[in-house]
Amino acid sequence: MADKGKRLPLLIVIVLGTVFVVQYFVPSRPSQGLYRQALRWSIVMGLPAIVIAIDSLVRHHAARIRRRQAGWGDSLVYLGAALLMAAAGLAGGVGEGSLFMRLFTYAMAPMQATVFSLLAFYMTSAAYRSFRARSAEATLLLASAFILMLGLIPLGAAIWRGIPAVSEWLLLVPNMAAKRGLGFGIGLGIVATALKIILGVERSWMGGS
Amino acid sequence: MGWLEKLGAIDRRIIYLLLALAVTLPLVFPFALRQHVDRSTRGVFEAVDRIPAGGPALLISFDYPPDLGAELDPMALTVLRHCFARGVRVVGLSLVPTGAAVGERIMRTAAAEYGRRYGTDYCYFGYRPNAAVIMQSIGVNAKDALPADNQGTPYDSIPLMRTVRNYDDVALIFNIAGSGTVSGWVTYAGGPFRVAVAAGVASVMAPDFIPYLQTGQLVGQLGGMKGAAEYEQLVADRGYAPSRGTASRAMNAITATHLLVMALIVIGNAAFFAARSRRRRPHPAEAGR
Repeated sequence: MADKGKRLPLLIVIVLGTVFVVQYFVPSRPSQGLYRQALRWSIVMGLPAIVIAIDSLVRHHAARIRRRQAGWGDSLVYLGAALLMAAAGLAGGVGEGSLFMRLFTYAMAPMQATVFSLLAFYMTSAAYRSFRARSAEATLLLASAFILMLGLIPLGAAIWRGIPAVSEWLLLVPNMAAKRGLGFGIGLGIVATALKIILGVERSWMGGS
Repeated sequence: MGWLEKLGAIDRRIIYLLLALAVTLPLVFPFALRQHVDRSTRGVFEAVDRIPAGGPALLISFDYPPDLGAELDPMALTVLRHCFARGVRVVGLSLVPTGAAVGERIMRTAAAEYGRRYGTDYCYFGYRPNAAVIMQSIGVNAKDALPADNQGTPYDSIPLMRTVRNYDDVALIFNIAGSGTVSGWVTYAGGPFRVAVAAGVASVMAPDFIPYLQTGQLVGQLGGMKGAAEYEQLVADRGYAPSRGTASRAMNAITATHLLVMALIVIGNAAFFAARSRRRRPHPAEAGR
């Protein structure tokens, strides 16, 4: 009986999976329409997930505030900020000049940029403490990093005109060789997994093993 | 412990202070450095420079949120200055919701500098959901993908858009991205419709798209502040802008911080080797036995 219940979702995946593989290679108007329709469906089906996620977050933080758990003040700030942004967006829209966009541009974006910029301090400190030529491999990495850093700044070319070219070669050849190897592996893995799901070999996404 | 080894134990607060100074001082006291322009930057510049004034449009997609603006706004501005100085018509849009206001602000700023008029010299369609569909649909019929501009003006009522049917009327797609939309433009527009694609991305993302540069699927790429500074230099050198812009000033700070990081690595390694050689050297008492 359990297997019978899984037939319909399996059939949907086989049919839609095959159709959209073909669709990708046919950039015609009907094919675009089909794809557009499918994306609309996926947006509609994704909406309940957002509702569930918001409900779960609000419950979690509300419980922390109610019980005065450690960090309940952070939860209060989170809920207040979420409420403010939602109210601003619903009341005044999200266009240029709206309260939502002002909050986003002048509060959210600088805060995100600040947190991101802290990375520079940690990276500098970590480079000083940990970037040591302990072995041949580490020395090679260190030398590459030096050349790349010099290649990134105008001073590199001023020291020696060949530095940008060496830096570019490091990026385009050894770096790309490694990245392409990884990329091929990931790509083949995606294709294999997708095929297994489309052909019904891989069924763990329906629950069970 | 010798003086060299002591240098290996600099307090992290001193390092933080040095970094803060390395960032701020070059911004307060700017100096002019010539950029070495790499091939990928030159590729974007030449692609824009080849577009005839008043001919096929440049499609620019602002696919990044405001928090990446510090790094990506300068490249958007300098490319638009190049376009508007040459009379290249520009069509803008954004495929991420938070990029809509960014694009509008930047297009308006650059157009105002060169006295370009909305509707005839440039237009802006704001945020368009379903990125992959939009990328493909513009190639089939741009009007279907972009029925009205950001202000709600219908496609056919915009004089510039009357001459843009699909990618056949687009000379170049320039995607400024803080996420993976570059791959989308290459996959869904550049490949199937044979339209040239160029990218401007945050520096941490730049190596991800090198394969597209090597295959020619991207005609060029601006990588972070460095790419923007190089482009600003090319634009200023050709007389399209009176001076270099924000990215060139920011590159001074980046240069100083890189030099600081390299100096600290050298100091750290010198201290490491000094400590290691002291550990290996036999103690005078042991050596005397």
